Amino acid sequence: MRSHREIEEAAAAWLARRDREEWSSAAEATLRAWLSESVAHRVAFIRLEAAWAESGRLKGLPAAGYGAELCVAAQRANSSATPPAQTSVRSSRVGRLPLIAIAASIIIALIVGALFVTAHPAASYRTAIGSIKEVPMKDGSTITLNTDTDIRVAISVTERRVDLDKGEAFFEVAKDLNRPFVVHIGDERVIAVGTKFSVRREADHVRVVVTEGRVRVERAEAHHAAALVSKGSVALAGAAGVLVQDEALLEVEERLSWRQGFVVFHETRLSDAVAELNRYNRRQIVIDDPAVGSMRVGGRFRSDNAAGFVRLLAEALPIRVVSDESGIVLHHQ
Amino acid sequence: MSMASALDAWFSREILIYEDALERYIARSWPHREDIVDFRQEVYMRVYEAAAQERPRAPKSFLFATARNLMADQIRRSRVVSIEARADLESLNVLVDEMSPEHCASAQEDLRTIAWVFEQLPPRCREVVWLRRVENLSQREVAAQLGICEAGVEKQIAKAMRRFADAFFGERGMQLDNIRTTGRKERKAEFKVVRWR
Repeated sequence: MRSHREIEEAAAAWLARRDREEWSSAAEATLRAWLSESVAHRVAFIRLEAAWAESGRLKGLPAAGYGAELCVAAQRANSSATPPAQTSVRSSRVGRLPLIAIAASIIIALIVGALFVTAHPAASYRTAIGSIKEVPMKDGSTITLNTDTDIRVAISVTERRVDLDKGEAFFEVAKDLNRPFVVHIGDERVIAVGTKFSVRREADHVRVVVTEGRVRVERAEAHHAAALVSKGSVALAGAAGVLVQDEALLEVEERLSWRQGFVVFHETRLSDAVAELNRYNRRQIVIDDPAVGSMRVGGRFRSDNAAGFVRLLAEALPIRVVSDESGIVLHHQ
Repeated sequence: MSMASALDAWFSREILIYEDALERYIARSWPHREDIVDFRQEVYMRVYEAAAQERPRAPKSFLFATARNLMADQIRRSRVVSIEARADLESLNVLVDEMSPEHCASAQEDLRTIAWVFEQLPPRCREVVWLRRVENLSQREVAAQLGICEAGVEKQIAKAMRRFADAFFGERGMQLDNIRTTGRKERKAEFKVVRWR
């Protein structure tokens, strides 16, 4: 059998030919004959035809000038022989603050009401690298596990307890004033009542993103200091304390786009972007040259499509990609 | 609508939209990356042939079940398959639901995808597509305007079709906008610090 590549080439040639004005009934007959020759021909043809029909919607792009703009922008992308200028590092970025760069096990609690009960037998859930899992709880709450995550859940009449042993999870907590929802990170206890938030466990800090309601971040044994984190805020908790930053709700939602299988970057250092993407893929991307690591990228990418990501990079940036079985290496061109 | 075109419409509406998920599904258990596209097409063929007899009631499940069976066949037949692939086969049954966080792209998202694909086209190809699809010029008029031969226009269109299909079905929603140099508006750092003690 001919490879799909050849068939696709033939199908595209047919479609392009039919797109011309002088399409005779004889040509139509030949095309029909080609299509009925093999289902392989037909499915390749349908696929291209459907995508091409979609391209007609380019007309719907806002403003007549958009095309020109796109052309200019894309040309810039294609011809960018130099890495984008180093824009100033945004020191406002929470993650860059030295306060956070403290090793040690992190201690946090999200508290809305306090009720601690001894551990219950727990159910465990885990996700492999690259997968996302939604776990409905019997209390009506839902937990969404991001890539490479381990949690244990125990729900009793007095408490709802989750241990986040590894990774990141998003919690949609059903309101229940009598049963606090407790997320434990490391040895600590974390509690909420009825909100939506995510908790991500990293090497030296914990990141809490709240999209609805309010939670309290607290160090378990130090009830005297706590940070309230409300909707639209991001909290980073390290050994020294908690940093709370307000963000536009849109940005907060973007941080949670992993739930749809995407990662979003804004002028992110390539080294950071690659580290983020590597969380989702067994096949790791390695940066060979610091100059590559400091290039900046933005965009919305499928978290599990590392190959597609580097292909886009190679098209837009002076990067040479070398892939083999063991991984993908990015060199400076 | 003829029988064939009704089936074709069904196929692109119910099956092709899972291309991205299908490829990932195959990639998980099939060690030979270079075969994935051929494999995908083989799955399409089987689904299409079956649907010509009778439309499956649950197209998505049917698609993934077909992929699974085909893969199982291949793995069994293959003499040099890795142990990994065999082990993964066991897990294929449970993967389907996990596979595609259902992609219900809004019209707006689709449009962004299309715009993105368009941006990725090589310059000449992009010009041709713009004139043909947006300005609605005929291939001949496009050729005249760009000063190239008609065969050249046809070739560019064939190329664009393939790119559109890969991007639209395969990598829906991916976009690279590093070309934007201004970035978002810089905001003043507004945050508070709560020290533990």
